[in-house]
Amino acid sequence: MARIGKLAGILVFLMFYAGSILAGTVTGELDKPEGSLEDQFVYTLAVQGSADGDPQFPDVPGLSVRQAGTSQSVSIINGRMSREVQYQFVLTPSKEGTYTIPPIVMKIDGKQEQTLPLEFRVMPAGSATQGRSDRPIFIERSLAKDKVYVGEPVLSSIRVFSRVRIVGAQPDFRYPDGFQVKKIDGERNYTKVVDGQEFTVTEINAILIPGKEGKFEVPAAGLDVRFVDQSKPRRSTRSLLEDLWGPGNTTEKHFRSAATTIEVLPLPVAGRRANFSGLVGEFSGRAELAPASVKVGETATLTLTIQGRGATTGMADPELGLGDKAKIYKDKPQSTDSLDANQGVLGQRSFKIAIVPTVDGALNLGALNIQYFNTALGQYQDMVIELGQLQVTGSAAPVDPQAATGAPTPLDNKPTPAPSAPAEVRSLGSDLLEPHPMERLHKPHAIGTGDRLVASAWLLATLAFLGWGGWKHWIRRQGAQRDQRKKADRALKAASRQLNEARVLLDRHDVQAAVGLAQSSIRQYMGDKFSIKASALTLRDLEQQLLQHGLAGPTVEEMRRVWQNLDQLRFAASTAEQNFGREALQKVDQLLAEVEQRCAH
Amino acid sequence: MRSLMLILAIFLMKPVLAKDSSGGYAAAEDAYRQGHFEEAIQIYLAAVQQGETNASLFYNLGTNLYKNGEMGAALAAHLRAARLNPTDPDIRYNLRFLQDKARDKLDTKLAHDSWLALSASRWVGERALFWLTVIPLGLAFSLAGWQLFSGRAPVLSWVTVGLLLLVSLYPGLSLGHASWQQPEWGAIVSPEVDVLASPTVRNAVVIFQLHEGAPCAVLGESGDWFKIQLSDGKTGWVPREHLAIFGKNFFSYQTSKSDQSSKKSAL
Repeated sequence: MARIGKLAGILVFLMFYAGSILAGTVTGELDKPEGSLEDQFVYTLAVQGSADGDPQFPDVPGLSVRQAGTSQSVSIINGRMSREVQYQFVLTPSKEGTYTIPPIVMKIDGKQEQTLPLEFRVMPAGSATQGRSDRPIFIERSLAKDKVYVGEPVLSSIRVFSRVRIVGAQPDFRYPDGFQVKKIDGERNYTKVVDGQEFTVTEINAILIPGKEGKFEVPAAGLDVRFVDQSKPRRSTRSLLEDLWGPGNTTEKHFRSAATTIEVLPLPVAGRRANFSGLVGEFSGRAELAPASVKVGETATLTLTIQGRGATTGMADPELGLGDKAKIYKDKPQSTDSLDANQGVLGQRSFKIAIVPTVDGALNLGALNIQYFNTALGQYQDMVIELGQLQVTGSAAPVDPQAATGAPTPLDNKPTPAPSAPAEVRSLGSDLLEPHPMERLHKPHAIGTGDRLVASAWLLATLAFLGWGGWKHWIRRQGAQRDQRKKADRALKAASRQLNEARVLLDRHDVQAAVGLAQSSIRQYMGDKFSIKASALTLRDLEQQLLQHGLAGPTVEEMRRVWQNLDQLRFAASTAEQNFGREALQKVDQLLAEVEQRCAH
Repeated sequence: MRSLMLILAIFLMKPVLAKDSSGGYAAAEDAYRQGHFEEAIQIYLAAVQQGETNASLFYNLGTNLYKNGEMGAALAAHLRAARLNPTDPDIRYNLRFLQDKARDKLDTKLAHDSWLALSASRWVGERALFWLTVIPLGLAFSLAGWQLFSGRAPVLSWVTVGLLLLVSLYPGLSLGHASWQQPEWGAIVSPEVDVLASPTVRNAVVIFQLHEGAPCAVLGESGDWFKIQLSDGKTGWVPREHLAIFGKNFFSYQTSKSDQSSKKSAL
């Protein structure tokens, strides 16, 4: 037992001692000295000792850094304990060349320590030391064209080649700024042999439509993948653990393609008319007019359909030049651009235009000349659409063109006024209201500092007034209570004075007056003592007051006897005698003294 | 006492010290008439950044933004204007117009906020609510103080005090709700944006997509990300540059005119 104690003591001593004698170190290490743009590099920073804070990876131009995690280990070697923390950084180069990681400086155990600078070389994509067919997974990113015009759709394809079982994947597919991206739903899956090795290919397609000219870099497509690594030992076949948590021999890795570039050319100025439709691609159009014959004031609908390869969303509305011969109401155009991996964007745009003729006779709508930019030819072209002719036979009902199917009204040489727009043609000529004049721009609508200050002053002032009023009220109440107490203290003296006056009256043989004064003295005493109005007190009130103030039953009984005795003397004057009166006054005196004494207690 | 005097002096001198923005507003009006909307936007934005809180200022900013082709930012400015002055018919009209224009038909109030239907903030601005709370409260204090001071306290006076307290309670509760419960609203400025489950590009899941002009309540921010909530309760994260908001607590605006056609996708 003593031996175990000694060993434990030595261990504790070593634990405390080791930390103080070991010098801290910091070392940096790269997993490989060179690789391609498709590779990632892992930088491991090992810190031995107590460091102040976490390490900061220095900024290296062209290198994006992500901290992958930390691990700690404690070991005792030759009686010395050492603690090591490893920080892992994943480095992703964005261009080829030689990169230098500068020293990382850290304060360890109070001393400045630093790593050695490290260099590594990044070669172009596809030139890695490890061939593509040797890799479990690799990614290709391609564009159908590397030179397009502004507005010309281009197919972007990302292909993930895999010959391992993928357990989970998180894509990081970015597209360049300045492009409208339309993802094509669904992925294509097929197999392909690369350098004699069969791969499963997953192809993700999107259509990119450039919005501005310039040279753009299409970023590398990245993929975080967890896949079954055959080089690692696995759990037993179809084990319960594998069923629950998947295969145990998985590896997590980031793969990425090489970045590509695309050049977007501006649409040439030469040959572009002012009414250029904005269409870029190859298009054709058709027109349908229904009905072909209407009365004046009735509505015929012209449907224009433009379709072809290319986006039609931004197409300008066509203009019909019918002058005063007809009123024109345009409905909101409808665009349906479908995406196809082989043909790109298949666009279709429909315009519905309501034509309400205002004069009779044949109305020739003429032809519509829509200019678009043909990307195959690299020049502007005109799309000519014949609109046909509308036969206007006479006047319809003047107001409601919908109801103009009845008997025609007699022809009138004067053109009838154009009716209001039919229900299916919506008015689009609305806009925001005008800005407010600047006089309205000065009044603040939010709670400002000024508001807060004024409101605080107002509330403080009113609260102060409330407090002052309350204080005055309290003072007044205190004074009233003090007066009341004084009155109560003097109650017996005042009552005694009245009783003495009653005795004087008794000496003058005025028994009734003396008895009345004695009753009055009782009332006065009780009123002063208990702060109540004395003049209207009855015997019942007096008894209740005595009981309320905690006087015992005998005292109340005595009170009743004395009061009734006084009543007898007062209202039976003939039988009244001076001696009885004196005796009654004596009892009143005693009663008041007793009440005074009990109330004092 | 000296510091109190200093505060009072600063408050009284505020109109003198403040930059006279009338000239700027006149220039903005001229710029609008001449079709130089970007110039007008800059003037109004400068006023906003100086702390001006006028509903018409945000309304004018929104009008110019719309004319400049920035529909989402225009809606965000009008939402702020409507918060400051909910009864202005011009603001309400423009707001409805912009909401009709937006592809995502979303409301500008949270469906689960049942108190909003009772709140006075739907038809009174927050400054008016503030004074509607403070003035009756002060009057109630004053009347109670006078009654205590004079010693005359008829029942009717105390009933009046109680009524004044009740009168201040409703706008006060509405103001509290508006200040602490109602989030600030912004709008999406990009043609299309993926809303993610977490404020990070990597390992994030796209929950839903929004389009330009979609109004969304901003619940918080983390770095360059805003946590948003839609009127139907859906929440998610969008990068700062895809959202315009001119709120008191959150402010974000980047002109989106230059890259209208680009799809803003985090993935």
